[in-house]
Amino acid sequence: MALRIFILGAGTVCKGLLKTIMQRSEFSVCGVASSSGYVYSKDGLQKADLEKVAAGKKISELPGFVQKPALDAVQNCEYDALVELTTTNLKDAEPAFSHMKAALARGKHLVTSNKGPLALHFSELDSLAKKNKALFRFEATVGGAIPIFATANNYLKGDRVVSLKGILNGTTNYILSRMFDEKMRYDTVLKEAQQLGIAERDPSYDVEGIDAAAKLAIVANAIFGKNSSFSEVKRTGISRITPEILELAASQNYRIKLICSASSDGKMEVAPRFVPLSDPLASINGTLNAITLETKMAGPLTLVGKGAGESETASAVLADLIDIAGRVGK
Amino acid sequence: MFNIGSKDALEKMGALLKEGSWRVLSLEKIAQFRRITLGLIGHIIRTKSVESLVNKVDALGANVSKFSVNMPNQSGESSALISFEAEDDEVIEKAMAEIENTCRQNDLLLIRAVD
Repeated sequence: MALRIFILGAGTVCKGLLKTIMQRSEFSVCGVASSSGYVYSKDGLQKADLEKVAAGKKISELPGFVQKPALDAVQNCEYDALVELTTTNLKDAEPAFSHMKAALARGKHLVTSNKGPLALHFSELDSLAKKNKALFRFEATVGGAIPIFATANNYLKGDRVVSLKGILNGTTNYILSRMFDEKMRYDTVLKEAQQLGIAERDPSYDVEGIDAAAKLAIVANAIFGKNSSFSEVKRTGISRITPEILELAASQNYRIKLICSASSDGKMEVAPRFVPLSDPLASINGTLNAITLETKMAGPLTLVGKGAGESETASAVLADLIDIAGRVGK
Repeated sequence: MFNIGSKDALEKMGALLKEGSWRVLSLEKIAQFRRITLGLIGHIIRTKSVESLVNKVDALGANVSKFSVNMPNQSGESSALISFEAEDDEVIEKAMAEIENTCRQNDLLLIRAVD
């Protein structure tokens, strides 16, 4: 029997996921919700309807559309796993936090790409999942398709991660890379990034290190078993970085990157740092992300990949769903 | 007399010289200097903050081996790079505390190297 999944959030990641998941027999998509309501069928939605959603059709235009909040579906519909893909909100994590709590309280498995609830309430969600014997997966929240949590949990079982450092925000890495390569000033590159859609109109979420801090809190909580909020991350952005300091750093064989760092003793910081050319992170350019896990036995392990994008995020969500399907015998 | 850059290299070199029938009169342990390189961004020239900082770090017993400033224009923020060396961890800690204090007082952005 297929794993019945309910998807919250009908945006780009949902579309990317649907394109792939419809081809796989171990899954049945029984519901999709947007901010205006949801469609649901206990036996699975029609493939033709899912194809329409994947192609961009609004779910409110599908037959059987229910104009109720997504939380209604989470609490009342029958499904095995909730896939929470709504937009990140770092102020109060809602409505995703309520969705997640409601699903986990019912013992439903949870897969998410939404950073907000994990950056603010990680341990509460983790405890709720354990209490209700639900599987909780969140690979897509940090580093796009880079398998950070799978690596730490599955492939380092006999080892221990003692510290980590990484480049977890593609926008700031793009800006710093362009400033160095083209000797351009911060404001000029930021405008270029906004025109290319790499930076938001209000760039503060990225350039002040807020997004990176949220991701760092998630990684630190998950890997070191901490109960920290992203507001505890010491944070410095990149808006004061100059082409001159990038050049001075290069003269001493350093690159400057916005580095997220954390250790098992609880320290968490996001700040522009000098990275020696001998460090793999120094050569991570453009919108790429990377993370180095410093392990007790195996030494440093560096993972590199695209940190965002429809198919990359969908790939991470799908990997989590396949892991859950395998564990529950679907 | 010559200097070797690391303890391992020194020991290897000593062994090779002895194997090759060289007479080694003295094989001294090298001083284990740590070098710290930092970046500073802000109104460095206007406040003369870094000039006095270099003197303070020197006075603590650390050796300031590099200090470069680049000012793109009179009104904008300047960028500086400072490297210092010391053998004693306590001297490095005191120098770092002095630098952090100067940065706070003068609103300078301090950039450290990754660990």
